[in-house]
Amino acid sequence: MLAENLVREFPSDDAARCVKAFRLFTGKMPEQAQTDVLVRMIQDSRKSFKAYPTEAANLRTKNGETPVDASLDAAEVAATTIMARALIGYDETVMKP
Amino acid sequence: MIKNQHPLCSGPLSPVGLTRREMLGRTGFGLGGLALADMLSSGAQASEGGLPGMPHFAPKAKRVIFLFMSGGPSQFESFDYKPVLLKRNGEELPQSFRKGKPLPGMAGAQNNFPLVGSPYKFSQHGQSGAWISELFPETAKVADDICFVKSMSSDAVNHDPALTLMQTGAPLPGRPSIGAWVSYGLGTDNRDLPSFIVLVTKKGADQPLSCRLWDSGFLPTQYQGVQFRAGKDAVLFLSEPAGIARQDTRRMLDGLKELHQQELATRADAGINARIEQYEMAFRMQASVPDVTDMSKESEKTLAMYGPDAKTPGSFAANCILARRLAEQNVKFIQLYHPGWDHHGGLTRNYPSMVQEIDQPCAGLLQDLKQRDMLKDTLVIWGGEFGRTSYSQGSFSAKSQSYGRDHHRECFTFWMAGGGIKPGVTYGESDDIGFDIAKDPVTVNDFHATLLHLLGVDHERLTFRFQGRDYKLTDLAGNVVKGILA
Repeated sequence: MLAENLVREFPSDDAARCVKAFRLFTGKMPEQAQTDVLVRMIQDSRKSFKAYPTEAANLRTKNGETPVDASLDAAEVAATTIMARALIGYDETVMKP
Repeated sequence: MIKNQHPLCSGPLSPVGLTRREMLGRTGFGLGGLALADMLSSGAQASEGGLPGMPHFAPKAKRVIFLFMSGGPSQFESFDYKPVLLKRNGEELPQSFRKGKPLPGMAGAQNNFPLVGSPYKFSQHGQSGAWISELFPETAKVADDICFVKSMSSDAVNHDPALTLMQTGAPLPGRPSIGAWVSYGLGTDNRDLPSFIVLVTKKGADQPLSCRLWDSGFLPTQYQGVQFRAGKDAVLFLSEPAGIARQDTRRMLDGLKELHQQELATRADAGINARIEQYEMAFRMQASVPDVTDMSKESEKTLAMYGPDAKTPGSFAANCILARRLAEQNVKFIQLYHPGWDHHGGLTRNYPSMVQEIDQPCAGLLQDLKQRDMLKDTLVIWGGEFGRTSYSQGSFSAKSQSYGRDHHRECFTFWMAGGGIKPGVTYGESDDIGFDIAKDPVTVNDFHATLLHLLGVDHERLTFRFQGRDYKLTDLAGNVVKGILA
């Protein structure tokens, strides 16, 4: 859901997706170094999901309750999901520094 | 001053100054934060190999399996044979034992305190001639491997504080439990599994078991115990969500680790380090836990040693087998809980069925460890948070099945085996009616000091600075019980 929204809102801007997600999870703007890590996560994942399209399809269809938006690129959404998943487990998301 | 340098710290402070969490950590929790900052800067050594200089001396035990009978099992129906009590069945507890004080248990308001002997037959077993009741035929067979300690005492009179005392060295909640101290001090021998694992028998519990009994208290949280459960997921929420491939999770965790390391560089916070450690541990456990909990690899012959419940997931028998499997994987501290021993009433109805659930599994565990040559360096402990009274709770008649025994902290029985313990001996004695200790008292602190000693740890030197002072598992007491060492 979140990944789909981010892809819809920023179809071709990885950094913008990461900044938005970081703000949603932590309530603050990321440092450049943090954005860099998140962007790299999307890029590496995109490469992998393009090479293994069934992994992207599985990630999108095998869990979650909301129907998948088939109009969006599967690798884009899956790669963005990986980035968002990292942020869910991020210390600053669950703790208030 | 706050801007650049902490008054007590030589290193530079975070460029962002003191955050709320640092402020709490360093001032509210005292100097612990500084010790921790030192620890962290020396690398993640603590979580892998334990503290520098540990163990203090060559250990006799490499790991511990603690079989905890939660509720307070009666010593009179098991291992503390009291023929005098039987002879004086129904007689009033002599005033001399009460020393003018009211009795502290739940039965304090009773008018009469009739002595009750055990209705079960006792006989001597093994070369050692240990007195064991007829309810424990399997334990009796391994009597010569066991050291019975008949002079345990506790400070606490009710379950929760007594459990907390036995597990953490203090009756009030908040201190780290034994297993957390052990993994903090000694680290791990198998980085794919937590070094402190908890197994609770799946059954109705008479007294609640809270997860703070295996908490890390003020120690960093990666040292807390991890509960393994019966059923599809031994560790809750450990499996990947459906449809997610392992290498995609690895990539996610690599990025997350980088984010956390960036954060750690600006702020030496044990919480962030614990988070890194725990995500990595969880990833390794996704592979190791299904393997170690897979009972299908156990032979029929082995299963039979643990008795008829061995194939019932979550039974005490199954947990004993799992404990052995974890011990084989060099997990340092394996804590079992078997609830159901709080027999205020209906003692003769309820006690035997409890024993049936544990007698053969306990004996099977000792035999199985022995046949794998692991008993020599695995310390096995059996006991509860306290014992029971020599007098009846509720009115007593030999015919009536309604009477029980109240909580009793003054004197009760533990047994230990393996890992540097002298086999086939009895240590300590209770008095004729089992009310007070007659010889060689062993306090909870003494027990902890001895346990650590067997692991190669001087209990005086395993400390953690918190709220401005050095805490120990044994705090300000405890002596190693030399008489039970092999």
